[in-house]
Amino acid sequence: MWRRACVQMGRAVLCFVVGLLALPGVAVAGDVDVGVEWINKFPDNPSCDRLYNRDNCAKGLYNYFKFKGWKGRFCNGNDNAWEEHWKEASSGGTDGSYCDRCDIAMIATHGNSGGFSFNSRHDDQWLSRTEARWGDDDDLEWIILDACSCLASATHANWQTAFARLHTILGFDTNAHDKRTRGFWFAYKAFRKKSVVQSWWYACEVTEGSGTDAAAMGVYRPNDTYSDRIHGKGSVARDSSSPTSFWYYSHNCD
Amino acid sequence: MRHKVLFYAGVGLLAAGLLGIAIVVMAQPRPRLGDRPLRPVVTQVRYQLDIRLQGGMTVEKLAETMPRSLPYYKASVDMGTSRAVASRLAGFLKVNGDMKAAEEGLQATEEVEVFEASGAVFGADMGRLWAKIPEQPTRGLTPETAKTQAVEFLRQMGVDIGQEYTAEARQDLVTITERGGRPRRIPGPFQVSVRPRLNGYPTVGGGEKAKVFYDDDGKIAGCLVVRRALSPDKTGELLDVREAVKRLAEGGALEHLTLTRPDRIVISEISVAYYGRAAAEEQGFVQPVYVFRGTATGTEGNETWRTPYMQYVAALKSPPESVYEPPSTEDSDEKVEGDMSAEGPEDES
Repeated sequence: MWRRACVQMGRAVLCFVVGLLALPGVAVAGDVDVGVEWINKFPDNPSCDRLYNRDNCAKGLYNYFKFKGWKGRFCNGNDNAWEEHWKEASSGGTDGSYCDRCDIAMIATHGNSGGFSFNSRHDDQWLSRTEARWGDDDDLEWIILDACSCLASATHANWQTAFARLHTILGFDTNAHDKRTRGFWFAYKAFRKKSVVQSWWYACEVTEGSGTDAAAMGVYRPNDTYSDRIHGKGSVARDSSSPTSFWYYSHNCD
Repeated sequence: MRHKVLFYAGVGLLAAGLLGIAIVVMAQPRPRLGDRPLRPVVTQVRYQLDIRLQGGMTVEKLAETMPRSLPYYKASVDMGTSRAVASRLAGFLKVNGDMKAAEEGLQATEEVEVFEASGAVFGADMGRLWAKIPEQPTRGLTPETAKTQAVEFLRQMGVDIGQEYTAEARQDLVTITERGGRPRRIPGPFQVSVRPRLNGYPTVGGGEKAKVFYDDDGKIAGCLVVRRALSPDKTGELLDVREAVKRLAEGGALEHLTLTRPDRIVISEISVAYYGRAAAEEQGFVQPVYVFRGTATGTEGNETWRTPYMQYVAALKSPPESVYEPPSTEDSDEKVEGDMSAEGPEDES
C-alpha cells in the first residue's frame, strides 16, 4: 500500500515542480499588460498648473492596447495617480504592484529634467529619477514619460540607474504640449508592427511642432533595444539586468 | 518501511514548496491605501518673468515696430489635394494597396496615410526611416543639399510650398554612453522642414509644415505634409505687445505646456508668426500669434534645471477661435485597477 502511495506522491511532487518551472513561461506567453496614470488637476501641488488633455492622452493608449487584446492592469487619474506606483520599493514605492507589473506603462503629467509630478501625496508629489528602478520586479519593458523635458539631453545619463531589465524610456528632450491624442497615435503605429521608437517619433510628429524635441533612451549593450516591437508584433530584445551601455536619441518635431 | 519514509518525505517536500510560495507571495509589495503619514505640501512657488531682449531691444521699442493689424485665414481640408499628394508619394515609395477607410477615422495603407482632421499626408519607408541607430554620420549630404533636394522632392509630390517659404535642415542627435563612461555623439539622419511664410511672417506650430525625412544613407525615406487650404478671411486688430507680455506674466506662461512651474523665465526674443495646428488636430482658422522664446530655470530639491522655452499668445484682440485645440470633455478622478479583461480580439497581423 505504501509503495503505491509513494509512487502517487512522487507524481504529485513531479507535477508541482514542473508547474513551478513552467510559470515564467506562461507569464511571458499569456500576459501582456498595459497601465497608465494621468493628472490634469493639481490643486494641492503649487509647482504645477492645470492641464486639460492628460486623461485623453493616456487613455487613448490604454484603450487601444486593451482593444487589441492586452490586459489593462491600471488606469488611474488625478488623485488616484500616485507617485509610489512608479517608485522602487527600497525608496518606499510600490512599483512592483503597478508599473513593473505591466509590459508597457505611461504617465501623463507635468515634469522637468529631474522627474515628474503628482497631485496626490502618496508617497509624495515628485518622482525623482533616483527613485526609479524599473523592470526588476516583473515585466516592464517600455515606459512613456509624457511630460516636459524628462529625457533632457544634458541630463539623460542620470536615468541609467532606472534600467533594471527595462528596455526603453520614451519622453521629451525639451518642453512638450498637453496634447490629447498622442497615446492613441503611438498605439496605432505600434500595432502596425513599427518599432516602439518609430511609433513614438510618429506620435510626436503628428501632435507636436516648433520647439519640441522628442527623445528616447534604451539599452545598447548587452542587448540593443532600439528596434523592439511590442509583444506579438515583432522581435523584442532580451532583458538586460545590468546594462553596460545605453543609446539616447533626440528627434526634432519642428 | 522505506516507502513509508519516502511518502512522508514527499508530503514534506510539497508542504515546504507551498510554504515557500506563500512566503514569496506575502513578501510582494502591496498597494497601500493611505496607511502612511502624508508628506507636507510644497511651499507656494511663483515664477519670475524677465524680458531681456537681444540687441538692446525693449518691449517699448518693439511695440513701435509691431504691426497694428494682420489678416487671418480660414483653414479647410482639401482632401482631393491630399489624396493626390498621397498617391504620388505611394508611387515614390512603391506602396501597393488601396486607400481604404480604417476604423480610426483615417485613410490608410501600411505606409501612406491621410489624416481626416487636417488633410495631412504621412508616408515613409519604415524599413529605412528611424529604423536603426546610425553607426556613423550621414555621408554625401550637407544641410544645403538636403534643403535643395527636399524642396525639389516636395514639388514633385505636388505639394504647394508657395513662393515665399523657409527651409531648415536639422539632424537628430544620437548618443552612445558606456555606463560611467564618456558619451559618443553621432549626428543622426537629416530632416528638412519647409514652411510657408504668410504676409511675410513665418509659420509655427505642428501645422503648416512639410517635412522631408532622410535615412542614414542620406536618401529620402519619407515625408509629413501638414498643409491646410487657406483662404483670406478678415483683417483683425492686434493686441499691443505690452498687453501680450502682461497676459504671459499673468498665467499664460505655462499654458498648455507640461512643464513644472519654473522659478524664472527669461524671454530673449518676441516675434509674430502664424500658428498651424498639428496633423492630428482640426483647425478652423490660421491666425497670428506672439511667439515668446527664451529659457526657463527651476529647482527641484537640490537640483537646478534649465530648458529652452517657447510659448504662444494669441495676437488678435478678437481671435476667431482658440489658438490651441480645445480640450474635449471634463475629466474625473478615475480609478481602474485589476481590470484584466481584454476588450477586443487579438490584433490583425
